[in-house]
Amino acid sequence: MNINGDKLNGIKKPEGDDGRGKAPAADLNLRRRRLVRGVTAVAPLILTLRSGALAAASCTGVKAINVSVASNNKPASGIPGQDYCATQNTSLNSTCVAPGQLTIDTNYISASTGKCGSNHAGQQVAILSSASVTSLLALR
Amino acid sequence: MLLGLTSASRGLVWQDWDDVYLVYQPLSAETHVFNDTTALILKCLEHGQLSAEGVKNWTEAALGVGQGELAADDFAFAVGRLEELGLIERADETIAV
Repeated sequence: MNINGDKLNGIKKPEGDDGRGKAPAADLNLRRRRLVRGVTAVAPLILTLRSGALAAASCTGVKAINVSVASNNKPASGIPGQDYCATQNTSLNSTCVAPGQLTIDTNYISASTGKCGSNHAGQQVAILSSASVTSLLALR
Repeated sequence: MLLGLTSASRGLVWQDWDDVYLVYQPLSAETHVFNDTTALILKCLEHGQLSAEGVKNWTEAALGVGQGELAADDFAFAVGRLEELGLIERADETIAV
Protein backbone atom coordinates (compact mmCIF):
# COMPACT_ATOMS: atom_id res chain seq x y z
CA MET A 1 0.00 0.00 0.00
CA ASN A 2 1.20 3.49 -0.63
CA ILE A 3 -0.06 6.89 0.33
CA ASN A 4 -2.95 6.39 -2.04
CA GLY A 5 -4.49 3.99 0.42
CA ASP A 6 -8.16 3.26 0.66
CA LYS A 7 -9.05 6.13 2.92
CA LEU A 8 -7.42 8.78 0.81
CA ASN A 9 -8.56 7.33 -2.47
CA GLY A 10 -11.94 8.84 -1.90
CA ILE A 11 -10.53 12.34 -1.96
CA LYS A 12 -10.90 13.78 -5.38
CA LYS A 13 -8.19 15.85 -6.91
CA PRO A 14 -9.05 19.50 -6.77
CA GLU A 15 -10.06 21.09 -10.00
CA GLY A 16 -7.77 23.71 -11.42
CA ASP A 17 -4.82 24.22 -13.70
CA ASP A 18 -2.38 22.29 -11.59
CA GLY A 19 -4.82 20.29 -9.56
CA ARG A 20 -4.01 22.06 -6.32
CA GLY A 21 -4.89 25.10 -4.32
CA LYS A 22 -8.62 24.91 -4.79
CA ALA A 23 -11.18 23.13 -2.70
CA PRO A 24 -11.42 19.43 -3.45
CA ALA A 25 -14.57 17.48 -2.73
CA ALA A 26 -13.70 15.69 0.50
CA ASP A 27 -14.46 12.08 1.02
CA LEU A 28 -17.71 11.60 2.89
CA ASN A 29 -16.29 9.04 5.28
CA LEU A 30 -13.38 11.28 6.08
CA ARG A 31 -15.76 14.11 6.82
CA ARG A 32 -17.99 11.96 9.00
CA ARG A 33 -15.07 10.52 10.94
CA ARG A 34 -13.62 13.95 11.61
CA LEU A 35 -16.97 15.32 12.73
CA VAL A 36 -17.29 12.51 15.22
CA ARG A 37 -13.83 13.10 16.63
CA GLY A 38 -14.14 16.84 16.79
CA VAL A 39 -11.88 19.72 15.91
CA THR A 40 -8.75 18.15 17.36
CA ALA A 41 -8.81 15.66 14.52
CA VAL A 42 -7.63 18.43 12.21
CA ALA A 43 -4.35 18.79 14.06
CA PRO A 44 -1.62 16.75 12.39
CA LEU A 45 -0.38 13.69 14.21
CA ILE A 46 3.19 12.51 13.80
CA LEU A 47 4.57 9.87 16.11
CA THR A 48 7.74 7.98 15.40
CA LEU A 49 8.45 4.53 16.75
CA ARG A 50 12.04 3.46 16.62
CA SER A 51 13.11 -0.10 16.18
CA GLY A 52 14.67 -1.83 19.16
CA ALA A 53 18.10 -1.86 17.60
CA LEU A 54 18.00 1.81 16.81
CA ALA A 55 16.63 2.70 20.21
CA ALA A 56 19.44 0.79 21.87
CA ALA A 57 21.98 2.69 19.84
CA SER A 58 20.39 6.07 20.36
CA CYS A 59 21.17 8.54 23.08
CA THR A 60 18.61 8.60 25.85
CA GLY A 61 20.59 11.05 27.96
CA VAL A 62 22.11 14.26 26.72
CA LYS A 63 24.87 15.12 24.32
CA ALA A 64 28.15 16.46 25.66
CA ILE A 65 31.46 17.23 24.05
CA ASN A 66 34.69 15.91 25.49
CA VAL A 67 37.47 18.43 25.75
CA SER A 68 40.78 18.74 27.52
CA VAL A 69 41.41 21.36 30.17
CA ALA A 70 44.66 23.31 30.14
CA SER A 71 46.87 23.72 33.19
CA ASN A 72 45.27 27.10 33.84
CA ASN A 73 41.89 25.32 34.21
CA LYS A 74 40.54 26.68 30.93
CA PRO A 75 38.67 24.15 28.80
CA ALA A 76 39.50 23.87 25.13
CA SER A 77 35.90 24.49 24.22
CA GLY A 78 32.65 25.71 25.74
CA ILE A 79 30.93 29.06 26.07
CA PRO A 80 31.85 31.00 29.21
CA GLY A 81 28.76 32.04 31.10
CA GLN A 82 26.62 29.44 29.37
CA ASP A 83 28.20 25.99 29.41
CA TYR A 84 29.23 23.76 32.28
CA CYS A 85 32.27 21.59 32.86
CA ALA A 86 31.65 18.11 34.18
CA THR A 87 33.93 15.44 35.56
CA GLN A 88 33.41 12.20 33.73
CA ASN A 89 32.76 9.40 36.15
CA THR A 90 33.13 6.67 33.59
CA SER A 91 35.84 5.65 31.22
CA LEU A 92 33.42 6.09 28.35
CA ASN A 93 34.54 8.52 25.77
CA SER A 94 31.05 8.79 24.43
CA THR A 95 29.39 12.09 23.74
CA CYS A 96 26.11 10.65 24.97
CA VAL A 97 25.88 10.77 28.71
CA ALA A 98 23.24 9.63 31.15
CA PRO A 99 22.42 10.83 34.65
CA GLY A 100 25.06 9.63 37.08
CA GLN A 101 27.81 9.48 34.51
CA LEU A 102 28.91 13.01 35.18
CA THR A 103 29.57 15.25 38.14
CA ILE A 104 28.56 18.65 36.92
CA ASP A 105 30.20 21.80 38.20
CA THR A 106 27.82 23.90 40.19
CA ASN A 107 28.72 26.99 38.20
CA TYR A 108 29.05 27.91 34.58
CA ILE A 109 32.41 28.19 32.94
CA SER A 110 33.38 31.56 34.37
CA ALA A 111 32.23 34.33 32.09
CA SER A 112 35.13 36.51 33.19
CA THR A 113 38.03 34.06 33.31
CA GLY A 114 36.83 31.29 30.98
CA LYS A 115 37.78 28.69 33.58
CA CYS A 116 35.88 25.64 34.72
CA GLY A 117 34.15 26.01 38.07
CA SER A 118 36.13 23.24 39.72
CA ASN A 119 39.78 22.56 39.18
CA HIS A 120 39.99 20.23 36.20
CA ALA A 121 43.45 21.32 35.10
CA GLY A 122 45.00 18.66 32.91
CA GLN A 123 41.83 16.58 32.84
CA GLN A 124 39.48 15.55 30.10
CA VAL A 125 36.03 16.93 30.86
CA ALA A 126 32.61 16.93 29.31
CA ILE A 127 31.17 20.28 28.31
CA LEU A 128 27.42 20.58 28.62
CA SER A 129 25.03 23.31 27.70
CA SER A 130 22.85 24.71 30.45
CA ALA A 131 19.85 23.08 28.73
CA SER A 132 21.58 19.70 28.90
CA VAL A 133 22.37 20.21 32.57
CA THR A 134 18.75 21.04 33.28
CA SER A 135 17.67 17.99 31.33
CA LEU A 136 20.09 15.72 33.18
CA LEU A 137 18.94 16.98 36.54
CA ALA A 138 15.34 16.40 35.52
CA LEU A 139 16.15 12.83 34.50
CA ARG A 140 17.64 11.97 37.85
CA MET B 1 9.23 28.92 0.32
CA LEU B 2 8.45 25.82 -1.68
CA LEU B 3 8.00 22.41 -0.15
CA GLY B 4 8.66 19.17 -1.93
CA LEU B 5 8.92 15.48 -1.24
CA THR B 6 12.29 13.85 -0.82
CA SER B 7 13.21 10.59 -2.47
CA ALA B 8 12.91 8.93 0.94
CA SER B 9 9.22 9.73 1.07
CA ARG B 10 8.58 7.78 -2.10
CA GLY B 11 9.74 4.55 -0.52
CA LEU B 12 7.32 4.67 2.38
CA VAL B 13 5.16 1.67 3.14
CA TRP B 14 1.69 2.68 4.24
CA GLN B 15 -0.71 0.64 6.31
CA ASP B 16 -4.16 1.89 7.11
CA TRP B 17 -4.94 1.13 10.75
CA ASP B 18 -8.29 2.32 12.08
CA ASP B 19 -8.14 6.12 12.20
CA VAL B 20 -4.44 6.43 11.54
CA TYR B 21 -1.74 5.24 9.18
CA LEU B 22 1.26 3.21 10.19
CA VAL B 23 4.03 4.30 7.87
CA TYR B 24 7.30 2.42 7.61
CA GLN B 25 10.32 4.36 6.40
CA PRO B 26 12.81 1.76 5.14
CA LEU B 27 15.77 4.11 4.90
CA SER B 28 15.66 5.00 8.58
CA ALA B 29 13.99 1.80 9.81
CA GLU B 30 11.49 3.99 11.60
CA THR B 31 7.77 3.50 11.84
CA HIS B 32 5.60 6.58 12.00
CA VAL B 33 2.01 7.09 13.00
CA PHE B 34 0.23 9.69 10.89
CA ASN B 35 -3.35 10.86 10.87
CA ASP B 36 -5.30 12.08 7.86
CA THR B 37 -3.95 15.61 8.12
CA THR B 38 -0.33 14.54 8.00
CA ALA B 39 -1.03 12.04 5.24
CA LEU B 40 -2.74 14.71 3.19
CA ILE B 41 0.18 17.09 3.55
CA LEU B 42 2.39 14.43 1.99
CA LYS B 43 -0.20 13.50 -0.60
CA CYS B 44 -0.50 17.09 -1.69
CA LEU B 45 3.19 17.22 -2.43
CA GLU B 46 3.02 14.11 -4.62
CA HIS B 47 1.91 16.44 -7.37
CA GLY B 48 5.11 18.44 -7.12
CA GLN B 49 6.54 21.31 -5.19
CA LEU B 50 4.13 23.78 -3.67
CA SER B 51 4.29 26.73 -1.35
CA ALA B 52 3.66 26.09 2.33
CA GLU B 53 0.54 28.21 2.13
CA GLY B 54 -0.65 26.23 -0.86
CA VAL B 55 -0.11 22.96 0.96
CA LYS B 56 -2.01 24.23 3.98
CA ASN B 57 -4.91 25.45 1.88
CA TRP B 58 -5.06 22.19 -0.07
CA THR B 59 -4.97 20.13 3.10
CA GLU B 60 -7.75 22.14 4.69
CA ALA B 61 -9.84 21.74 1.57
CA ALA B 62 -9.16 18.01 1.40
CA LEU B 63 -10.15 17.65 5.05
CA GLY B 64 -13.32 19.56 4.35
CA VAL B 65 -12.61 22.25 6.91
CA GLY B 66 -12.63 25.97 6.48
CA GLN B 67 -9.59 28.05 5.70
CA GLY B 68 -7.63 28.62 8.87
CA GLU B 69 -9.13 25.70 10.79
CA LEU B 70 -5.81 23.93 10.51
CA ALA B 71 -3.89 26.07 12.96
CA ALA B 72 -0.78 27.70 11.54
CA ASP B 73 1.27 26.44 14.49
CA ASP B 74 0.06 22.89 14.01
CA PHE B 75 0.81 23.02 10.31
CA ALA B 76 4.25 24.49 10.93
CA PHE B 77 4.95 21.76 13.46
CA ALA B 78 3.99 19.07 10.98
CA VAL B 79 6.12 20.56 8.23
CA GLY B 80 9.08 20.91 10.57
CA ARG B 81 8.74 17.36 11.84
CA LEU B 82 8.33 15.89 8.36
CA GLU B 83 11.42 17.81 7.36
CA GLU B 84 13.32 16.38 10.33
CA LEU B 85 12.26 12.91 9.28
CA GLY B 86 13.66 13.56 5.84
CA LEU B 87 10.31 13.16 4.12
CA ILE B 88 9.95 16.68 2.79
CA GLU B 89 12.39 19.41 1.99
CA ARG B 90 12.33 23.11 1.50
CA ALA B 91 13.33 24.34 -1.91
CA ASP B 92 14.34 27.86 -2.69
CA GLU B 93 12.12 29.54 -5.18
CA THR B 94 14.06 30.23 -8.32
CA ILE B 95 13.47 33.46 -10.09
CA ALA B 96 13.23 33.18 -13.84
CA VAL B 97 15.63 35.53 -15.61
